[in-house]
Amino acid sequence: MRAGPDTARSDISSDDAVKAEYAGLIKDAATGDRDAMERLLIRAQEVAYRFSLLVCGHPEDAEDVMQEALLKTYQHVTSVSHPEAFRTWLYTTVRNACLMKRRRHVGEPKNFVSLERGVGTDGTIPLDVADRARPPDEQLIDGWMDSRLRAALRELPPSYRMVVVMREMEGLSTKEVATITGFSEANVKTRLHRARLMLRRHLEDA
Amino acid sequence: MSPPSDCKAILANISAYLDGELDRTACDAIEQHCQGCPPCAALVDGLRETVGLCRQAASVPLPEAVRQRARDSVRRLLDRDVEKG
Repeated sequence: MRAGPDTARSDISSDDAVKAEYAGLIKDAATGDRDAMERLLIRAQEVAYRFSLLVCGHPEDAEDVMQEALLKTYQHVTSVSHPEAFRTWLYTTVRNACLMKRRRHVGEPKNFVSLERGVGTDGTIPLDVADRARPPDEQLIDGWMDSRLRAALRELPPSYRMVVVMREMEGLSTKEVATITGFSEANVKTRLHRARLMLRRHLEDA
Repeated sequence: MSPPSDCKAILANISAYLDGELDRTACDAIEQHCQGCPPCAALVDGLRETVGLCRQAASVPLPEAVRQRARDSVRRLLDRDVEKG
């Protein structure tokens, strides 16, 4: 075993740097700096994409969640009174957009079949008409992230997955994750610990 | 090898240890325990590796096609607002 906890993230310094960067972008964007606005909105969409994919596990929702993050951030920028709280606001917005998106899906059939497609020679519509090719985004994602890690993340209960993704991958602090999820800070730490143990087990089993 | 009760205490504190939240004395206790307890040492190393894998994955930029889509959406939105005046 190596000596010392070299995984320790310098939470305070990196957290402060990210907050300062967001604060600078918000300030400039609010005063009409198009470049700052572009960078802020692109970043908001990237957050939305990663969250849709890694936490919600539905790449097909990502486009809509990105759009929601884009519009809400654009509307929100000029009224931000606490730039240091922007990141928490953004992740809360994205999380809610993912949840709403899923709720809208409840009751929808898993596959839609066009009336113009899939009609057999006898006039019936075969049940197995789904396009089995992997969607383009899935192929992109395969090249982006270790498939073992993605599979292991999918095995976690959603609230554990959300905590581990926001803490380990998005670099949010325990306090920020607590604010976004509504869990206490102690609960966030407990979930992170259990999520790490579960992830480890799934990675070993893979 | 340390008694299992020590292992339980180690297990409970591993994440705090990896996150640098323990004081030097507590870190030393974990490191000392692990020197004589291969299962705990393997667990600490395994979790460290898992955390590293997550953070490494997070540092990879999104696929260029996704980033391009994001840039295009932003420009469309901003251009539309410029046209509106």
